[in-house]
Order: sequence, then C-alpha cells, then structure tokens
Amino acid sequence: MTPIWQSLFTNLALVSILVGVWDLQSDVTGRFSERMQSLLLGLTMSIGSIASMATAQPFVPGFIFDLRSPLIAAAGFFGGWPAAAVAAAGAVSYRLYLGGQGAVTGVVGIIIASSVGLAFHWIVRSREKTTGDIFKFGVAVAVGSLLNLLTIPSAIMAGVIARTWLPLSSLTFVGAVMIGILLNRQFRGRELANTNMIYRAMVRELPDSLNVKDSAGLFLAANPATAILMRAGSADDLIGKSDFDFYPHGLAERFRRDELAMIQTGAILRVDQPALFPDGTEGWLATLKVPLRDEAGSIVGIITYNRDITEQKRNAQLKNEFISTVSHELRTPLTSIRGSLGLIAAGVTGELPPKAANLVRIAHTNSERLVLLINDILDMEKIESGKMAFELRRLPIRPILEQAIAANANYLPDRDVKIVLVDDAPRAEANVDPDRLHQVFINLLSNAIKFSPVGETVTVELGRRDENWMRVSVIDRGAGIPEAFRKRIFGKFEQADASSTREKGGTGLGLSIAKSIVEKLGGTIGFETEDSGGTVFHVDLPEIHSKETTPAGTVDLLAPIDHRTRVLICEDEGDISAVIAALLDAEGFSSDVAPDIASAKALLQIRQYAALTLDIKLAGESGIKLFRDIRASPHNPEIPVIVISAVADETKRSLNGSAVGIVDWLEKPVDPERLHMALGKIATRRIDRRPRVLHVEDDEGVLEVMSEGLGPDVSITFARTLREGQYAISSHHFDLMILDIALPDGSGLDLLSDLPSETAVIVFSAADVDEKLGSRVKAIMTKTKASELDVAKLVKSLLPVTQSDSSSEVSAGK
Amino acid sequence: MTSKILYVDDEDDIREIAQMSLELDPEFEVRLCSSGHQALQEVTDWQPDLILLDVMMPEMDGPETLRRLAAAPSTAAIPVVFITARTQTHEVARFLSMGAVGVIAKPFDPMKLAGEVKRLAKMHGRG
Repeated sequence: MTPIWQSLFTNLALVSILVGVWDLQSDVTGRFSERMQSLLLGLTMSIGSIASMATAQPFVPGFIFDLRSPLIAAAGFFGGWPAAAVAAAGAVSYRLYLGGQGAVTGVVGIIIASSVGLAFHWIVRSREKTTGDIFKFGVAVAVGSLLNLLTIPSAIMAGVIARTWLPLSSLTFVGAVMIGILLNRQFRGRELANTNMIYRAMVRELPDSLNVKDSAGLFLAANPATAILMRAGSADDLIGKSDFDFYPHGLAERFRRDELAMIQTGAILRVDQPALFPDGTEGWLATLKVPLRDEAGSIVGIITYNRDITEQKRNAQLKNEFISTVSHELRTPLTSIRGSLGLIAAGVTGELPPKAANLVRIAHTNSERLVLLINDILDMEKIESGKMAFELRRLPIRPILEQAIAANANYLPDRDVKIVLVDDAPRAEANVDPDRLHQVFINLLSNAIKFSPVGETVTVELGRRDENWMRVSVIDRGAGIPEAFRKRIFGKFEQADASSTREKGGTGLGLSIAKSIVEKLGGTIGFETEDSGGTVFHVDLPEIHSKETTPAGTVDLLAPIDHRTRVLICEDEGDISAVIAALLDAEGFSSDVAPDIASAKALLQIRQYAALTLDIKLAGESGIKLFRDIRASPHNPEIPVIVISAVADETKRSLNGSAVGIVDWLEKPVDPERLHMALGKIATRRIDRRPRVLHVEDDEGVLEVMSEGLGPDVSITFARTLREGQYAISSHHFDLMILDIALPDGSGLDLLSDLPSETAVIVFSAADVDEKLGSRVKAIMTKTKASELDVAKLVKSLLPVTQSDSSSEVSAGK
Repeated sequence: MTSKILYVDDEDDIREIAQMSLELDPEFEVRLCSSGHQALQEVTDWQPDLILLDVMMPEMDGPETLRRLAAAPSTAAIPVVFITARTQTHEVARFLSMGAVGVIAKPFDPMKLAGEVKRLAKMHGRG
C-alpha cells in the first residue's frame, strides 16, 4: 500500500472517532439552541480537520493530502452557515500556519468543501435528508477535491495528480458518505427524542383524561389525569387493567358496550355523560372515543378522551333559565303595551290626528317586533337547551306548505308579492313535526317576500333532489344575498346590514332557528344566490316512500315525476286553493297553484296542464281577462277550464257567447261532487281523443243505425230519456249532440239550456220544428225527410278532424 | 246571542285592555276579576259562558282556580281558557291536561283576541 493510501485510511479512522465523540457529547448539547449546536458542530469539524492535517503523512513537500474536506463539507451540510464558517475558519488558519507551496491549494480546497456543504444544506433545507442526498453529497465532495488538484502549480502538477487522484477522490467519497450517514442518523434520533419528549409532556400535563386501551378493554397507556379520575394510585397502576377494576359493574359494562360498538363500526363516539368525580361531586364529562388503528388500518384499540364540562353545563343551564325568565317577565308589560297600541292604531279609540297616528303606528310596529324577537329568543333557547319537543309524524308536505303560504297571504300587503306553488312531488311524505316545519316555511316565505321587489312573484317548488330526498325550494327575485353575508347567514342575530333591521324588520334569528329545526328533522337547509339577483332557499328532507306507489330506486328524475294529470289552480286565496288541491289529489290529479294572472300565464308557458281551475275574481283582477288571454295565446289555448267563483252565475252571463272550453261553473264553496263530475269530463277528454257525440233518442232502431253510420272514429253516448240526457251533459263534455225532441219524460229542447255553448247541436226529430233555436243548432232535420245516414254524414262534417286514418274521408270544412 | 265572558287577571292594565279587545265583538258581555277568589264568587251568580284565566296570580294561581272550578258541580262545565306568557310546549300541554279548553299566548293581539275567544267558545260552548 502506498503511503498516500495509508495516510488517508488513518484519516478515515480519525473521522469515525470524531463522529463518535460528537454523538457522545450530543446528549449534553442537545438542550442548546440550534445556533449554538451549529457552532459546536463547526468547532468539532474544525478540530477534526486540524487533526486530520496534523496526522497526514507528508509525501509531496509543502502539500498535505488528507480527509479534511468531508469534515468541513459535513459541517456546512448539517449545521448550515455558522458551522461551515467555524469549520472553514479553523481549517484555513491551521493550513496557513503550516504554510509551504501547497498552502493556496489547501485553502482553495477548504473553501470548495465548505461551499459544497452549504449548497447541499440549501438544497435539502425544507425536507428530510435521504440516503440519495447523502450519496450525491459524497460524490460532490469527491469531485470538489479532484477539482482542487487542478490548482496545484503546473511545475509539479502532473506527477502529483497521477499518484493522488484515485485514493484522494475515493476515500473522500467514502469519508463524506460515512460522516453523512452517521450525522444524519444522529440528528434524526435527536429529533425523535425531542418529539417524544414533547408528546409525553403534552399527555402528562393535560388536565383532561386521555388513555389508550386495547381491543379487549385493557389499558395500554394513560395519563395522570386518567389515574386521578379513576381513583388509581398512578397511571402505571392502570396498565393491564380495565374499567371493571375501577367502576361499578353496570357502569363499566355500559362503557364497554360503547367501546365494542365503536370497534365494530369504527365510528367516532362523542357523548356528554353525567359522571361522579373523585371528590364525590356529580358533574358532566364530555367523552370522545376514537378507534386506534394499526398500520394496516384495522382497529386494535380505543383512544378515549374525557373532559370535565360540569362548569359549561351549569353555565349553559343558568343562561337558559335566565333567558326564559327574562323573556316571560318581559312579556307581561309587553302585553299592556302591545294591547294599548294595537287598539289605538286600529282606531278603536277614535280617529287620531295624522302626526299622532303616525307615531302610534311606529310604536305599534315596534312593539310587534319586540314580541317576535322575544318569541324567537325563546325558541332559540328551547332548541339549544334541547327543550323544544318534536312530535314526528309521517305526513305529506304539501298541506304544510299550503298553510304557510296562506298564513303569509297578508304579510306586507304593500309589497304586493304573489306566491306561486309548483308541486313536482305530489303526496311526498316525510317524518316531520308539522308545527315546526310550518315555522320554517313561514320564515323562508316571509324573508322571500321581504326581499322581493314590489309586485314580484315568489315561487315555492316541491320537488325531489334524488330518490331519497325531497326538496322544498323558495325562490325569490330579490337583490340576492351579498357575498360577505353568505357565510354568516345562518348565524344568530345576523342580518345583511344593520339598516335592513329597521327597513325590513325581523329579528335576525329566523334563519338560525329554521336551520336548527330542519336539522332536528334530519334534513338540511341551504341556499343559492346570484350577485345579479334572485335567491333560492331549499329545505331537503328524507322522503318516506309509500311502497305501493313509488318503489325506491325507480324514480326517473327526468320523466314527469308522478305520471298524473296536472291541473293548474288559479286562485288567490290559499285556503281555497288548498281545498281544491286536496279534492284534485283525491281524484288522482296533481296540481300547481298560481295566485294571479301573470304567474298563471307564466306557468302555462313552461308547463303542461290538462286543465285549469279559475277563480274568476282574482285579487283586484278579472279572471275573465286571463280566460280571454289564454284563448288568444299560443300556449295550450284550448285548455279546458273549470270556473270556480263566488258569483258563478253572474260571471256565466257576462262571459256569454265566448265561454269556449269551459267545462263547468262551480260555486264557492266548492262542492266535491260537482268538481268530481267536471274532472270526469277532463279525464275522458284526455283518454279518448275521439270526438264525443251525445245522441238523445228514445227509438232503439234509430240509435243503432246512427251508430253504424258514424263509425268507430266517433265516441257515442246514448241517452234514451230527458233525464239521461241531463245526466250525460252534467258529467261529460260533448262536441256535438244529436237531439230528438219528443222524449218519454219531456222535450229534448230542455237540454239546450244546460249544454255548454261550444257543443254543436243537430235536431233530428219526427216533428217539424220551426222555433228559433240559436246559432249552435247547426241543422234541424226531420226523420221523414232525411235518413240516419244523412245525419251521420253531416255530423262527421261538423266534428273536429281526428288523427285516425279514416279522418281523410271526412271533409274538414264546417 | 250574547256570550258572557269572565276575564281573570291580577294585572289591572291587562284587564282593561282585554276588556276593550273582547268588547270589540258586540256579542260579548265581559266581566273582570282580579283574583282567583273573586272569580270563584263571580261564577256562581253570573254563570259565564267562558272563563279566561291568567296563570300567574298571587295567592291562588290559575291552575288552582281551575281545579276548584272543576271540583264544584255548578261550575265544572264552564270552559276555561288560560291566557299566559308561559307558552312553552310542555307548559301548554300541562294546562290542557288540567282541563283547560285552550291556551292563549300573551302578549295577545288585541284585534284578534275576540275572534279567538269566539272560536273557542263555539267549539266548547254549552248546549
């Protein structure tokens, strides 16, 4: 072995010893600050490199070949610039002290090594050092030492390089990697010890009980607070024991049940439970149990955390009692104030001068607001203290919505906001407390009205989010919710801006209460809003499916949801529309409600309806106008209309002559039997598209021949008596009537007054008729002069063209 | 047909307002009592059609008054409605279980009180 190899190997041994020394003293220095440790590392490496130079064997005069560069580079790599500076300064001083013609080369080598170390320190500053990093570091230091050889004066360079490059670079590499690995392990070990110490301190000093049990319920670890809570001598006394060793059997069994359930499901358990404390007092513990998992993810134990919340519970209770008492005490004087102001404002005590009346109005409005505020505060308190009782029943949601709409009918009458009801989930049911849900809907509706522009429409939609959830949406066309307010909207006493409290009224508690209620019902509440305007609030509730009607999983969201025939109820009184809707529902129809002409027209444009029930005296408007508009519009102009009105007869007269397509006229209150018949007419229209002819005739033979003459493309109803004719007219709609006059129980002409004006009439009778019978009697034919087939031909020419094949045979013109 | 309404409340102001509110209905004849004792005396002579009874009164509170009314055969059939600021669900349930036919919340709307009382009187009226 050449001297240089020998010298460098000796050096390598020195390096190992040095790292060992560094490791030993680190137990002491581990407590020093990071900067101090860096300086110490620098100092150690500086001493190491000096020793390395001092022990190197000289074999080129003036030059020293040793392993100082791995030591100096490692100082920079692991200790940063303070270590690098100290190490480099020590090494440079000693090298200059030794002097000789290699001094400059030596100093340059030290600077190169120091720079490489700092460069690596900077590269991996924000992550853990990997073995790869350390190998690259070794290569870089070795390459640096080779580059350093190039600074040797050219006169002796060739000979020196030839002898030194291999041992120097290879052992520099080995040295650098060795130091790197050893220092890295040591730094990691120290970090781990630190972390451990911090965690131990955290758990030890925690005043709350924290412990870990295995899946059999035996303690694996516990902090002192656990020992105190369980009246054990120390935390060590708990290890290997279970709750059964410390608690009464029943209690321990209950804890164990909770834990077994958690081990099975893996669900985190949070529970507030009454507890008996070591000092004998009773209180409350908030308990949190989390599964302990091994690396494969399977549950191997339970981590339990217990916190004494006796104080909070007591405070909350005191607060609730205080709020409850204060609110009730406030209500008594408020009864007098509200009562007095209400009576004066209503004019019971006589007319006031305008200025006084205005002041009384202000005082009255604000006393009303105070009543609402106190009610809301009490509700909030009830919800928070868990005292609000929920009586859950399986109920259809629509009637609750209808009640809320009716209750809001007179809210802010000046704003003139209409509420449209669209029902895409008829008969949808959920488990709800109707009073509480009513409260939620009232709140959402009153908000929507408050924030709607004057005269606008609020749409309430009952629909489905998916097959398991129904959704009630309240849609307004207001200004939208300001961005900054969206996050706080369900908070307490939150309103978009302070001025809106005065302008819009309300307590700022409504949405917070609504959210609490909906969540208690197992649902969710949310909203979507646009800066440009319009807000949708939606309440989602878990739907209960009736097994026979809607099997879960078969709901096709795109198809018409109920497959039932849909009727539009045009009615401004919520109570009445609810009654009509219920009657329609019983008859198998689903329905939407439009409270005014504009929204009825809007709905007719976007949705398909089989019929329309029309309140002829809609608030401040005339239903007749709507009727005429519909007939003139391109959307479903032929829709059958059932007029419902308090003044049906009067309206009937005023519409005389233009009442095409009116199926029936119903008086308020609606007679279910009459509505049933009217709906029967609509139903037959929808199912049987063929033109309907009523043939009133007591001669069996004439009926038979006529029937053959008309063929299968016409639906014929026979009436053999006047009474049968009357019944047929009242229960069905006909396009045309063939009328015999001489009937067993009276004159067929009596039927003309009951017949809808759009039904055409052909009189086919044995006797000549010369009376004037009105324009709808298209022909009067005498049995002796015309045959049944002549009549049939005329009838076909008068009937609307059908889609069947044979319609081409019929001349279309009238 | 007139209905005789007895209003029992220890608060003078509220009695006065309640009387004005109830008398907005011309069919109501209203008498006032300031305590349960007074009410028990009044009912035997006057035989009202309905009694509106405050809950929180000194000496004899509303529930006790109701109990005594129900115990006497001559007054047991008179429907009693509580009028109270205590309207939590469990409280209302308790009042109804005592035999009250209804509970009206304070503060009441003075313009709607008569209507509400009329509705209750109709539902629970005698004969």
